[in-house]
Amino acid sequence: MNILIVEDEVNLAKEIAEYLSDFKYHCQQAYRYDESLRLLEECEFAVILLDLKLPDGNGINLIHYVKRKKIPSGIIVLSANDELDLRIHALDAGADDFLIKPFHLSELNARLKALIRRNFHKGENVITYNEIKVDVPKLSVTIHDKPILLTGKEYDLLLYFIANAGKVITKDAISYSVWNSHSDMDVSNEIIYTHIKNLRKKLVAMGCKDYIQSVYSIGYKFDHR
Amino acid sequence: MKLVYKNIIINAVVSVLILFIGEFSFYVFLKNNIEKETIEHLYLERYFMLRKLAKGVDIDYFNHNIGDELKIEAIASVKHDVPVLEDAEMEEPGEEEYFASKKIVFDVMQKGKAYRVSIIKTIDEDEGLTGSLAALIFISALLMAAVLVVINVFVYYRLFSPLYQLIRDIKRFSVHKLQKIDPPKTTIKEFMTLSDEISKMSVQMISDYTSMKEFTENMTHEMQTPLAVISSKIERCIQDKDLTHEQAILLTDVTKAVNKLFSISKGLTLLCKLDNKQYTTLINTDIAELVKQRIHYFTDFIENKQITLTESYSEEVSVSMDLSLSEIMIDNLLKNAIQHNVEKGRILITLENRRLTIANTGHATEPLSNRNFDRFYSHSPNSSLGLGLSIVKKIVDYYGFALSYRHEQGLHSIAIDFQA
Repeated sequence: MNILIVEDEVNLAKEIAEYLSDFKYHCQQAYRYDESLRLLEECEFAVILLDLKLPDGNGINLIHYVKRKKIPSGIIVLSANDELDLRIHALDAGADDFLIKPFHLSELNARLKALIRRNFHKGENVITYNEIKVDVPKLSVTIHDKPILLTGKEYDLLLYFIANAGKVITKDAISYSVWNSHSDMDVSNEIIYTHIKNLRKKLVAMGCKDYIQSVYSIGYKFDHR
Repeated sequence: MKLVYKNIIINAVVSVLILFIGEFSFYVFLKNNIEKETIEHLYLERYFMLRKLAKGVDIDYFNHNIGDELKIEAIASVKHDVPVLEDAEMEEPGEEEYFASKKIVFDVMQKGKAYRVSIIKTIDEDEGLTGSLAALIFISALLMAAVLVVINVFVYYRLFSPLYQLIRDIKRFSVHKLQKIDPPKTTIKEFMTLSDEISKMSVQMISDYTSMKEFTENMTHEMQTPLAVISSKIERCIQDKDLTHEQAILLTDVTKAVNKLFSISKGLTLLCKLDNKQYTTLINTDIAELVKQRIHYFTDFIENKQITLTESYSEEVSVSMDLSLSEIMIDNLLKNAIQHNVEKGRILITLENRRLTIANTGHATEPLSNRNFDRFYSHSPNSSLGLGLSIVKKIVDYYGFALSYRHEQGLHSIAIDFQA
């Protein structure tokens, strides 16, 4: 699947491409506005990751361009500016999601996957990871086709883990994504630990393999060993 | 008080004062003169009478020929050679009124007989004139004063219209509308100088504001992007399969530092924007509803510390605020109440009399004061930056609410007064 990264900070664009390539995404990078227009002419992209502040133009204009040309790509805006007005403006123009810098690559990856699922698997929005099946519209999870009852937070955690399967996810990223950015609360580590412990228990009790591993003090990894 | 009214009042007081003094002196002066005239008249009559008597005119003649009230009585001998002047009162015929009069009394000899003559003359018929004259002058002076006031008001408004225009413009001026104040047209030098200066100031303010805004935006962008690069690099590092435990700890520390930098930049940007009054969108916010909604996001943290939460909302308070600011305000208060709480502590949230109070148990030894609201003032080492409460303070000030802190019965309570 093709992804276009429009970001003038080469280093950041490179890291995004690197991270996403592990999930079988093919990333192309554009550092300027005109470059991105050229790439849009050349190939089709499932999703455009778009920085709003480009050296030779405003990212909003690119959203307008994509919508005008009826290009079917989804758009996730990456912006350093978190003003509500700007967010509304971008979403009104036709962006699908809005991510504020700095963001965690795992968060970007999860959002990207969610967007692709919405755009390309409209009828059947089910995520499968070996014996785990998550029906996103119904918010239901089954293990070996048997339903499992999860709390809202546990469900969010599981979804986030599956989206970033095989990658180490920092506690910060988890707290940002699942607990709505209250990562500066000093208790967040304990809470994450408690919830993950509960989730693991529930999954294992249903006969699921214990995919969640703790990685030193830094975070967790969802992987079949 | 408006300048024009102040001026009118001063004018009116002074002119009324002058009018009264003038009237009074005019009246006294006129009255004295009339009295003097009356007395002179009486002397004159005496003089004519003596002359006529010397010529041998019979005394009875005067009973018919002197218009004023005259009394002639025979007396034994002449006592008053020198005429005596005294005040008298005279009765108006048919009316029960007395008029101030002057009486001259003198004795004369006529054909060997002594007579006492007294002539009375009222000052009063002239005094009636004094009264009406004074009244007339008073009325015309009053009329003139009234006309002056009216003229004053008109002239004032015309004269001062550029000033009023300027005041209206200054009131309407808001730096983030980026519209400078145009000096109103006037030929008065002082107003010209004033409005030119104010116009220049507005231009300066707009340019300062614009550069400040640019700076804020640049800072956010310039700082956020490198931070994003750093955190993405860290994320890649931790994917390394050969990562050692020591390296992992190092990277965790780096992540923490980056997060701190990120919150500093975010917080400072917010404070900057508040200082610049860059929040202009107003949404009617139901405070009780908002608090309930925000608490939802903190449930896990509250449960984790086994804090007992008591809420009581006894009234509906609706305020006009920017949505994100109201959320940040409540979030920071809740965060503060949770962070500085003790295990198995309490949080009490009350909303009454347009006052939202969030009280929490905490360590009593903490040196708490208004300093809590200062930037970067943080009293416990494990807490996040000291920005949270200063942001609350700024937001509260921004909307003209009042923030207060109290510590009693082991509870730290922070209250926001949403004035009516």
